[in-house]
Amino acid sequence: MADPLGQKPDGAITPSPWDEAAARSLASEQEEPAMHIPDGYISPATALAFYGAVLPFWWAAAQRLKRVLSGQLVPALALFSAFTFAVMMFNVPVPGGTTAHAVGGTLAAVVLGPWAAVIAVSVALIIQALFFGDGGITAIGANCFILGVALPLTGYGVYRLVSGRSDPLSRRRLLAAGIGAYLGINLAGLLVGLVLGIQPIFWSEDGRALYSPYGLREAVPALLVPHLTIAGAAEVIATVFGLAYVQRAHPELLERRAATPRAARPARRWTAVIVALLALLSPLGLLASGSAWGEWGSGELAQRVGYVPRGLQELESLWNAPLSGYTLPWMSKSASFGEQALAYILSAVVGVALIFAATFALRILLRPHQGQQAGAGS
Amino acid sequence: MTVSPVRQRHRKRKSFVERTITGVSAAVEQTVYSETYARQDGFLQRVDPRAKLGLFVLALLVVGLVHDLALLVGLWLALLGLGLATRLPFKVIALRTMLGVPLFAGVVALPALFLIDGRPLLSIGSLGPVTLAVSDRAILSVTTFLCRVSASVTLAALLVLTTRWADLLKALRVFRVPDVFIVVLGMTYRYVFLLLRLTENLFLGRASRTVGTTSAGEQRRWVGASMGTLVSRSLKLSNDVYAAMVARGFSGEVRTLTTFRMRDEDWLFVSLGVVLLGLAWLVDLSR
Repeated sequence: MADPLGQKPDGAITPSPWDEAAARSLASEQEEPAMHIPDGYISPATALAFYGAVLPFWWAAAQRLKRVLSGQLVPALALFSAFTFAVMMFNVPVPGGTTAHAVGGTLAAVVLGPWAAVIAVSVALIIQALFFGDGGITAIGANCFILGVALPLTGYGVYRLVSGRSDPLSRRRLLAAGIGAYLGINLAGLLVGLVLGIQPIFWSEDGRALYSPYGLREAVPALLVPHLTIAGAAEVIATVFGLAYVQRAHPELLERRAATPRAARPARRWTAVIVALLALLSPLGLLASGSAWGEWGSGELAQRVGYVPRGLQELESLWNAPLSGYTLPWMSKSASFGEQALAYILSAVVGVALIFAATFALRILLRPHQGQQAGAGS
Repeated sequence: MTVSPVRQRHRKRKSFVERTITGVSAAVEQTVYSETYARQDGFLQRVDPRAKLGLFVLALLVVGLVHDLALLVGLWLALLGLGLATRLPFKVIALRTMLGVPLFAGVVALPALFLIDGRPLLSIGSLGPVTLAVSDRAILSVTTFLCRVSASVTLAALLVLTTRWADLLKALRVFRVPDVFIVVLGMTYRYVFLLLRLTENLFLGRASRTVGTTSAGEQRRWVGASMGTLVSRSLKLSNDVYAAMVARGFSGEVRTLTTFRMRDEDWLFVSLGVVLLGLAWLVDLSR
């Protein structure tokens, strides 16, 4: 049994090998993009807002699972959560020779069901924060909302949309899961970037940032770029290859899920869930712009949160370069920070809408011709 | 067989297998040692877990809200002192509270020194058309950020290092966390180690069977297969565990024993803590 309680070193504590092990893991930790928000990065108000946002999802998930799992609820959720925790420890080899951790939220949603994934990822994150010091305690709400709700629900929604009524063991399901995983992890990265980016806008004192010091124009690209590349690749690899294995070795898991009667009209419901998630996102933008225009004059705003580095205008264009799709070309360089923030969020909304369009286009393209459906599984 | 210099350099990097094994064993060791410190006799270890959790959450809130930099530094130093007073080895405190998350935060915050505008204090020189200068606001912002992160991390570390996980879970009940949720958390924590052991064995097995380099595609398939194995194992385990629970009389309802008793010392700890934190908050507000 691997329970650490089984091994009780009695007596004095020897200098632990843990020191070196921890230092080693720290060293390897440095190379990875920050996913969990630690304590102190976001203001208590932001943290509280996220607790408020995540609670309804937990409640809905618990109600749903209680009906499906009944008495089995507790052990099933515990094991699912432990599984998610273990998956987060995996280093996934990514093209280019590096490795990265995957969240596995989409994989969990596809195999175990979306609501089980919401609880499983959330519980895993809470355990990480409470017992392993990974991610902040005050930031539990934010981390659970972003990684435990937004990621698996988006990933699963896109998976259902792309896979349509294809055979649960078909290759199309793998493609669908891969696309869902990629979009899910990137939405999570974008959300973390936005949450960190609004900190200096709302919580600054005489130009001194009280929490995470980066504005939207630094935080969003800094979070999105690694998610578009390394973390995104790790998530896709974990999801696609994990699902491929389950398809081969444990097809009954996927067939059982597909056979549930509720699967009759999945697409519309999942569209609703994704739209709801996006709706939750957009007030973030309205909040930023509304308060910027309502409370602060643009001059004061620029002075407060401008952070427009004096000699760094050129560097900014460097920052924006990999993300030129996300900055609106017609925005003037002198636009106030609030306007630019709004522009960011608007382009994010436009980007997500584009993704939707592409997803539906893919669905139409991949629609099996009548009569060919039976042969889809291979 | 010759190994090209490129590959040799590449081989020096730790493979995903080694990294995972290191990460898993570090996580397990860390909790084992946390648990050892929590069982030692010390000032904070003796405090009722409910009192400690409540006060620490309040402290996290105050540390999160305080604006004044000096106050923030003071709170952080006080917390470090508390750690030493409760007989945690300095090395452990330092490792937990300065090397880990704060070090990472320092790396994260470094560029902010040059990005935040203000009265330039120190000019480093210019990189082409870009002048690098550190402003007063930049230094203040970054210091505030680092102190806040360090103080928060110290708080979290003190809580975990001085409280046994079973007690910490039970203490969550004070915050009206539903019992079912607490039981799920507790069972998850237990089975995390089983699945981590399984993960470790999977990776160790692979490491000992592998000679030379493997193709990227093969590595990915293997990682996918390991995750798939974990899914099926955990599903099967959950059925087994449920069967075992039913066999022992589990009816779907969660019952727990609460054995905490608040002593006078605990009440003193809570009230003194509230006074000090409240004062700190007031000082900050009155500035």
